[in-house]
Amino acid sequence: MLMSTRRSMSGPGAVEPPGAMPGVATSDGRASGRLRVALLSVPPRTAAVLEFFFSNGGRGSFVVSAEADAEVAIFDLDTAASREHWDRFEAERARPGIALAVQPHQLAGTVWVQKPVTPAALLAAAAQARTMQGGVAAAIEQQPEPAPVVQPAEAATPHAESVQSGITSEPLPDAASSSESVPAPGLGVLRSDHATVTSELPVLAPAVEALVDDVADDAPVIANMDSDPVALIDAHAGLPGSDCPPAHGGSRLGAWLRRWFGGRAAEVSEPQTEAVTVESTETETTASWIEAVLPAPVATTDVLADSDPAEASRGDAVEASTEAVAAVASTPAALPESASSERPGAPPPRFSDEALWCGLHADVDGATLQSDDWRFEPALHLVSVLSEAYRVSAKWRVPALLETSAGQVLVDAPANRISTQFDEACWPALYAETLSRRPKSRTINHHELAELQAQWLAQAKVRRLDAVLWEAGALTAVGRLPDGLDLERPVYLRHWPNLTRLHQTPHALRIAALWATQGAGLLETAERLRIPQRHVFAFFAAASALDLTSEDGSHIRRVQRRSARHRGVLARLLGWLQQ
Amino acid sequence: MTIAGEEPGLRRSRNRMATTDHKIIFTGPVGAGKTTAIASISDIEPIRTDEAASDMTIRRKHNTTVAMDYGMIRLGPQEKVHLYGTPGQERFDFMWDILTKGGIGLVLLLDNTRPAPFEDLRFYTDAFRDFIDSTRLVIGVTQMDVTSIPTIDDYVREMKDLDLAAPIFEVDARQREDVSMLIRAMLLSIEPAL
Repeated sequence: MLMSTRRSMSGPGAVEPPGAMPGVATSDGRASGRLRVALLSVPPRTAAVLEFFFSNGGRGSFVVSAEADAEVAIFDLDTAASREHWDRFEAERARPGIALAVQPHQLAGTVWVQKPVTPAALLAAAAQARTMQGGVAAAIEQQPEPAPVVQPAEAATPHAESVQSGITSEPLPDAASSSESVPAPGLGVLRSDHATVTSELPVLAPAVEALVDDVADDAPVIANMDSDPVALIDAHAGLPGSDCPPAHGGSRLGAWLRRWFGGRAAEVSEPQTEAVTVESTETETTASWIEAVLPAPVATTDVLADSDPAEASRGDAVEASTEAVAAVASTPAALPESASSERPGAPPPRFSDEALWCGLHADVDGATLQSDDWRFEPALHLVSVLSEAYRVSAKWRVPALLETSAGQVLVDAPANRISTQFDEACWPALYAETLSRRPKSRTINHHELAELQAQWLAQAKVRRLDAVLWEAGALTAVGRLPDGLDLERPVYLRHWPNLTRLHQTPHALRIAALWATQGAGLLETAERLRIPQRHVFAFFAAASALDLTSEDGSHIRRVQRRSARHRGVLARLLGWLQQ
Repeated sequence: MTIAGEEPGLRRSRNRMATTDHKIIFTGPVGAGKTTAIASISDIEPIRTDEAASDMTIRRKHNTTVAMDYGMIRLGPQEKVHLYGTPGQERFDFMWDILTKGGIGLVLLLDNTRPAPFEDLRFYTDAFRDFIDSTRLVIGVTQMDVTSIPTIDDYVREMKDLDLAAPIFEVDARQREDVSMLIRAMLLSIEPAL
């Protein structure tokens, strides 16, 4: 909802960091365990994008800080002023940096993040930089210092805190002042005099889309929001960086948002040949601006040591790195301590794509989890439509057809197949899209199926239906909870998910076992299994999309509730199997 | 336990020799992958009792297990988990009770390419019903890459009709990770907080 108005810096510690972008306020990240970053003369647009991320998807991980307090600096290697600022910062502070650049660079003490920047890349780079920061500090102090670990209690960053954190929003230099409401801190930086949003929106995402779009000079004016809950924005262009068909209902920006909040970087491997730097001219189009923030990989200078930067052309695509995300998941700095291993005493397991599937939120209390920041409305996303089509198809044993903004989708539950007119790479954008109008799914008969076969099914992209639903659930939620979900009510599994063929969310086996045999509330699950809440939430979202969760545990047989008689040997065998 | 008059050295030696044994049973129809599954997870080279098939089995494979397969997981110097694979043919069912005694749980492997996999499900869960009721069952469906139908959902529906609640996964018996996940699911079904 568009609620808060543009705010000025306020509260203790709201000090403009020297050399920081105008409008970038400070907040003390020490108490929260967030990474304190300083933005070093970063171009306004880049700063706007970064602050937007820091105020939303990345608010649990980052806080903008004054240079003196910063653990890590972020600078734009492609901008002379920013580069010089970095040189000064490094000379004075000897702290690591995150270098945003189109081309690979081997700059000592920095982690390179390729532009266009993505949340996943930034999170991974931050984790690496934090580790480096620990090393630098240790070297300075001549004594060993463990890598910083985000403590669960410290890392809790509920929305209320971020609102009070002193992060303020200022318009871009080219934006005229306005008094419209913004939904969250940081969004105001993206506002311009184009913004004419005058009514409250039911969900955050569309509002964000509207605001984001205002950055572009030619952005359409959003009006008459009362009649349409979702801002419709330039529905005539395809998703950048993919061969997705033109989308409707703001899906491009939905894709952009999706990626900010955790798009599946691994699936975006197409060369971003059209990518532009974020400091490009004011005349760049909305599409090119969006491209500037579409996913890109992250790599350390170590990784690039053998590569020749000169050979890397502008916009070269390095395949989006799931390993980078895995690094986030496995780096102590990025994981709260509560991310316990599968068994006591075992090293923390590595989960690929944890940041994308679960988010990186630290555990918080139940009251905080009731806030809107932690919630989302599944009915406004494709996942609910897919789930419904799956249920209908499974019930009547016939395929169900539905229309998405990217094309038709045939859900065939009896065959566990989903066929699409569009490429697999389009899925993340579709998951992120906030539906302006809920697509209807309908079952089709053999005659219609034959017609579809002749039209496009023969060339359709086919995937496993269970895998798509599982993925849709988790990637839509990104560690959030559905609106209205009671965290105390026990959750049961109707049956086990086919875990050998689904993406492994962290601790999936243990959560499945608990919910299949005993049932437990979400918070209780995290406590009993001693695992991070976000892992439970991710599993819940994925399992719910597959219609596996239930509040009815009557099907659980008494024998299944019995606890182990030989716990010791079971634990040892489990440990052996996990080796 | 101390035996009166026992030499301390002898007692220590006896304690050193004491081992704790556990076992997991793999069952399922001919060709479902029991032998392969045990081989993929065993600590030792599995002991097989394959013979050239001389009955209907030859339609599915040339050799078949006639007594049992055996593999082992060493948890430590004094603790082992024995992996027993039952012979697939029903005429060897007299061995099943013997094999299951004291087992931790049952791994049922089903071959999705067989003409009536639901019949197999029914037969084996009925044959091992007492064992399943007192321990845990996990089901792995093999060959789903060859024949994708029935799906796991179909099996789940069938299991509900049979009043069975157990983890059921699509598996490739050659893949250690798949077999490992089956057994881990079994263990965690017994105690999720392990």
